[in-house]
Amino acid sequence: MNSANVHSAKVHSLKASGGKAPSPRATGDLVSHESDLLIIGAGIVGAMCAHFARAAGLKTIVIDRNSVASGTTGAGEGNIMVSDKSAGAELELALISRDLWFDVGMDVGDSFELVAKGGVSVARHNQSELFALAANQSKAGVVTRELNAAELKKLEPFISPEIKFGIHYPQDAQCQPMLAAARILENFVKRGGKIYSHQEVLEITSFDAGLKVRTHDAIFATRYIINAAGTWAGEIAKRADTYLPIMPRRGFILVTAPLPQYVFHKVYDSDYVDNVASDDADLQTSTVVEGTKSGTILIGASRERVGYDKSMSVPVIKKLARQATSLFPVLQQAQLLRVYNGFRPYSPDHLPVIGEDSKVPGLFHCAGHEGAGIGLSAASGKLITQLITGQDPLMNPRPFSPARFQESRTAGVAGVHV
Amino acid sequence: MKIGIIGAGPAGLAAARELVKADCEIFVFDSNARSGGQYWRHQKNTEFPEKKYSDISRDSRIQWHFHVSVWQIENLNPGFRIHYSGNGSSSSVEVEKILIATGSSERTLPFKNWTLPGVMTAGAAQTIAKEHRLLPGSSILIAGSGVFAMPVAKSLITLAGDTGITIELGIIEARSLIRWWRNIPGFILNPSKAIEALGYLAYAKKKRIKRISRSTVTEAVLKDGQISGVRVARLDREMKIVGDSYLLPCDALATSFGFTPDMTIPSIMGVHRVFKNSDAVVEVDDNQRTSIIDVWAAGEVTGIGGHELSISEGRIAALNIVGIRGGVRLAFARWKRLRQRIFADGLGRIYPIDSNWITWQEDSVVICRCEEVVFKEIVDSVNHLGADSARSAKLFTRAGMGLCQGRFCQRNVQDITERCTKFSGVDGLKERTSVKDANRETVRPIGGVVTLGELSD
Amino acid sequence: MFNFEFDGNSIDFHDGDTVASALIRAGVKELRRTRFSSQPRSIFCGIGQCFDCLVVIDDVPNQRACITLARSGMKVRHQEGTK
Repeated sequence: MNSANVHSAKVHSLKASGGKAPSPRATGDLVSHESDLLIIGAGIVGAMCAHFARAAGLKTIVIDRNSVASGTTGAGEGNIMVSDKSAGAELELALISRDLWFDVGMDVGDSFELVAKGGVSVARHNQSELFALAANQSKAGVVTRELNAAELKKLEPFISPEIKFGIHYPQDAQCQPMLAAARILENFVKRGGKIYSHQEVLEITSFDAGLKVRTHDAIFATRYIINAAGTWAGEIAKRADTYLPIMPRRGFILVTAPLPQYVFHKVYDSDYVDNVASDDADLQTSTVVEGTKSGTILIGASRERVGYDKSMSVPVIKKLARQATSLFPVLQQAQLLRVYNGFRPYSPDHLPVIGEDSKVPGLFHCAGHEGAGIGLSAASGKLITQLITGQDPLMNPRPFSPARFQESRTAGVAGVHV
Repeated sequence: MKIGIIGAGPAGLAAARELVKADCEIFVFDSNARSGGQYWRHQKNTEFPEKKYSDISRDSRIQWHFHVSVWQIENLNPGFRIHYSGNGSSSSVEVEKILIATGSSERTLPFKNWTLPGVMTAGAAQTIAKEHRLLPGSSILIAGSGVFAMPVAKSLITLAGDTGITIELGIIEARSLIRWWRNIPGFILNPSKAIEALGYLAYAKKKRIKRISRSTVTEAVLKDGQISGVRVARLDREMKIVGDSYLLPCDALATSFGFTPDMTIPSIMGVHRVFKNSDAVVEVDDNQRTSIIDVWAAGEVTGIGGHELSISEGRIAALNIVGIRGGVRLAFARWKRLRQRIFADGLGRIYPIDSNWITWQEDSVVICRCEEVVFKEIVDSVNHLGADSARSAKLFTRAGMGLCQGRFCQRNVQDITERCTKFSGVDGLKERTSVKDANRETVRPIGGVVTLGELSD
Repeated sequence: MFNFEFDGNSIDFHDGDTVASALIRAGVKELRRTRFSSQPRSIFCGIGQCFDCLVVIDDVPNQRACITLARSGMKVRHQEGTK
């Protein structure tokens, strides 16, 4: 089959018929659409919401101001981790989500490099803290295994000989996040869902039968909305005349040239967990190193609150490089291929926001997953669908309730740094 | 005044020549082992074609950094810190002003089996001929489009003559050979170009260079592990294939479809870029200033135009850097630049690349050489996964994520996604348009090769 | 005349030769195989921009043969994928 012939045939037929499909803008009308559910955001969270909502029988439309995976999902590493969370609501959600990911993988097909590669958390100095964390996680249902130097070397032959202890987390998994979002949405469309890209939400208003979302050339009338706009979820909330404090936390990832396999799991320094929980605006880095199917090695992770500054930062790049080579000396010769950054959406208490808005009925939020968006997306998508349809939730949703930020706020107060 | 010049080709050297007169402290960076850029490729220890440039290349007032990779440039507001790496370590130097003169790379178009050994760019053939006195084969075809084929042919024939080797050489040009009238104003204003063109015509006749016009190579044919020939097809005026292809034997194929500006350093610095004749170029004002204070750009990065235009632009940038606002020299340089630009733009009218090159492709043709991404994967990413730009196609297929970071494929991937987006199923509301923002599409955060070890120091 | 080793064979080179020019002169057609579909590659752009001419030099992979100057005693290997 020759794609070129196929589409050049299309070229001819379009030319013959004299042109373009009728453009709504040309006539000055706004096109209207109706649905049970409108999802704002075609990243991984929006994709998972679409997947579960459609399966639950909701007529669903997804819109995005750009196209699929244009936001943080496009800068993600693809982490599906339980090892970086201590016992609590987020870990509970992560454990469920991790298993759900593999269900979604079965359903959609093996097309986004989903693999249960496992994680290894290592310690240089504070071994007791590392082991204590593992014990705490183990009680909450995480599978952990203590590693001494010999066992560590067996799992990671190239790790620096200075590292003597580690914990193995076999449940940690990996995927290619942009492909995942795209494939899940492709599957969603195949089964009757609809996606409209380049639709920026201008305004969200209520009417008797539900909510109306207006964009530049369309009006979407719907019973429910899921705000899955990630780092920009606060902005969407504003346009619905409500409030959601989601802020950007910039992170960098270094990508090496394709290498022989030197790293077999996700490997991280044990202060990765503390890093996530911290509130420091200043730069924090901790080492996370992992290989990918294509042979490149990804190195993270850094966290900074610098608004939406997309520029490169040489101190960050150098620090990450230094930490990675101290963990894996073999990487000294690795060529740095590129660096990219993205903005993790985080909320003041570092927990995602999953639930119905306390001011605007029918508007649900599913955002603020910080650096765990990929991993938590499956369970978030299923949970929010359950909340919308009134089914039994897969866990107690209270810790994620938007109301916790909205109780004492008045409408229209800006809560997002842009 | 400390000035950093990125690129030691014609534009960079012309600027250095002016700046040295004004007593500036000059740092020049180039990834090659010596200056000259791509245009003045010459053997080690031989002179530059023009004495004034060989003089400057030996000037000790200039701090030359060769064989380095400028991987980042920090804007210190004011001033800049240039990070460069090479030979196992990374260093940096702080300057007050920067001139971007990083030139262009060759534009290539894919065809079946173009990744085979024995198929190379016309520039590669010229490089190994001029720098290493090596011929790529004995039966050589130069295929593509544009003015580069003749100088390369001449280099190869000259080398063959010097070394007593017999070669056969043919040129395959996608466009008609009778399109030169489209640049009459350019030739009138630049009579030396007209003479040069006539010279090549005469040379081709004298050396019996076979020239096939309105044709293109559609496939490289392999035999016993080596290229044994190519399939050639005729093209119509819109560069679509007409008729059947035929076989031409050869043992080396050099291909080139012109040049495209190198946006690596411009995108690292974040200077404003625009599209000019479908190429992303750095936008500059009349004084070669970019959108960032204290940053100038000269040469091919502002638009493909040849080495003489690069020299004019380098000179004007330098004069502006040292504060010369008027005078005969500047006026003369401006006039030269104007007439040379007219010629360069005219060349674009003679040898434009029509996006119908996409209709030559088959599903299995490799588009991204580094990551081995084929045509069908890119088309599918648009039609099935919602990719609407080179950037999103890259995220879904890996095209452009390899070692060359899209230098050879991004342009082509952009053309493919644009074409497929335009004619793929309308997604409900309006004809999808592809995203084409020069500033987003050409971001490459790391300038060149730097190892983690070099960064760790 | 100097020489270096390529896959166990001795390759002569002049002063100023790159690894690529010496190998081409010696008639070596293929420098590496790609990592996904094992396609043969040699020089393409000739100036260090395309990363097609990768070889392993003294056990370090991903070295561009066309811009690496040949040195006496080098051990160069045909690269298979990433190694």
